[in-house]
Amino acid sequence: MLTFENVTLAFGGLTAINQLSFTVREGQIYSLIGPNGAGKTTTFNCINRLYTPHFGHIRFQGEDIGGYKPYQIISLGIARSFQNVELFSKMSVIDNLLTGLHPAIKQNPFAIAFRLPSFRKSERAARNRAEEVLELLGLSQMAGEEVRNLPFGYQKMVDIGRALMTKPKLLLLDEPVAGMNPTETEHLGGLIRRLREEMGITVLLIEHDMSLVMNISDYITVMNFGRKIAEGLPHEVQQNQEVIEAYLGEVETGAGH
Amino acid sequence: MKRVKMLLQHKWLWLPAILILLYPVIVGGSNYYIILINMVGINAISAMALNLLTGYGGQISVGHSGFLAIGAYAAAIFSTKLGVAFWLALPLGGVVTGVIGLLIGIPAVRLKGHFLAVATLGFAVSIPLIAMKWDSLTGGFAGISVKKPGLFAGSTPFYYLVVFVTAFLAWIIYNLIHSRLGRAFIAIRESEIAAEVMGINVPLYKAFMFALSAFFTGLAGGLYVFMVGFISPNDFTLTTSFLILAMIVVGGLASLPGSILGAALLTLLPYMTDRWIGVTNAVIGLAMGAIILFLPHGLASLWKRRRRQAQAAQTGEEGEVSPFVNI
Repeated sequence: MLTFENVTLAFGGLTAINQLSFTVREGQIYSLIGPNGAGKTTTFNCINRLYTPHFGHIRFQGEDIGGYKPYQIISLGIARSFQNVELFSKMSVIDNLLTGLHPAIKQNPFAIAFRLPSFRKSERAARNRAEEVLELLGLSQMAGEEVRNLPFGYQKMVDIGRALMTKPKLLLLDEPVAGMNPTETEHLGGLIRRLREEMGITVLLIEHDMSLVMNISDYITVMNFGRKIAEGLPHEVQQNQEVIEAYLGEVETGAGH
Repeated sequence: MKRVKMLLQHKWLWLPAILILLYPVIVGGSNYYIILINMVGINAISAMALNLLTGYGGQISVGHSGFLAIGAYAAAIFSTKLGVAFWLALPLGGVVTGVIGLLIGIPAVRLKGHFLAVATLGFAVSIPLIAMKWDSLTGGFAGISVKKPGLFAGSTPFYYLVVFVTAFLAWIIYNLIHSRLGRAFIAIRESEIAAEVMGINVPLYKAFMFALSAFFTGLAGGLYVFMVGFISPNDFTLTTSFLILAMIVVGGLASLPGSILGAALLTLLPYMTDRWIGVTNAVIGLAMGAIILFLPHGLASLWKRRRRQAQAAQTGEEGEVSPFVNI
């Protein structure tokens, strides 16, 4: 579904991603792990076309996405959440979700200006969809709340909800459980599974919480200093000597980011 | 309609509504007092238009005097040189301003914060100069005289026109804000990266924001020229831009009632103090300082605070009603 072919990206002298290749198959929960600065979020930013790799190709469903602009990526079926919650903080929860539906809503300025029936109909449909997602995430009672007033854990859920609005084929989650307690983490793990099983969403996950990663991943790629140092099934990665040296030792000191 | 009914349920809104409708009678048809409120309406439209761009969209502009001037000149030129009827010249003036706003918006898309402010400042400074030098079109220093529109020639009919247009445009801008479009504007203000990832074409929407804001401001300019019957290069200068900016800061950023309140306050204050020479600016400065100190979110936050208190209390106890909130 998503393929990286020898992708390389450098910022000045620093090679953020170095000849990275991996393939996410449809229906997988695929995890990208590695110590801080390994290039994981940069990888997401390449998929979103916020960065353009200097070498290599990124293909989604066989098509090279290099020709698309950042705002066009979501229409291909790729949605994303952010590591540090890039929510629209002065908007209500439901307005955040409605904004997530932006590319799917058709409203012309004329219909909007005069509140024509076509506008009201599309707005109602959008609200129904938002309520559906709120219910799925258990956020229904917070619909009208301004996002900045919510605890961090809920903000992360809103971030995921916003990404779900367009019913994406591929969901990129950047450290969804950072700052969550074990119960919340387990709950979110269950939710990610449900997204895959009930909605057929493929998930590409960046996460430092090993309990979650080992629990729900079908396949894992480990990065360090922009390179892939290992890949495999969770138990294979866990036993890989290089991974243990490069990464698992690091968790103790650098946990959380 | 449902929203109108909801508004009508607020009994305290009835008093200002009746006051506004009976105002020409109350002041005995006095031109002076009628034009005063006309100016409030015209400034309120400009303030709402600027708030759409700055308060909701997060793009600063000190160039709105330029848009007012273009709207006024365009309406005047359509009406005098091309003989276009008033009711058509006014929206056409808005459209011309909107197109120019789009042209300004395209380069402005690449600029942020202070740089955008300086670019729009340059625009505001250059428009009066262009109007001054482009004799054949603008009449240069002498300006353009416009015949007042037949049906609305009297000050009382024109007053009702201004009230209607202001209310109508407030409704339109309200609708724009509460839609896919408005959400995209606010999203751009809050996080451009997230907006982009959510599928919002940020440069396009920024340019569009400028065009819309310019369009509404151009309409205000058109109303002005038909009210005064005359436009010259010095009618809208940089000072006007800063005054409109002050209106939305004092009234409340990202608030339509705030725009109207701010426009009312900063239009009426200079008139109320103009018998004491030199006092006007001091009073405006003091008022602004006081509001920014004590109400950093503008006059509109009084209303929000009151609503929150009402929600919290829910005992039906009648709270103190600020006179500002009632307008």
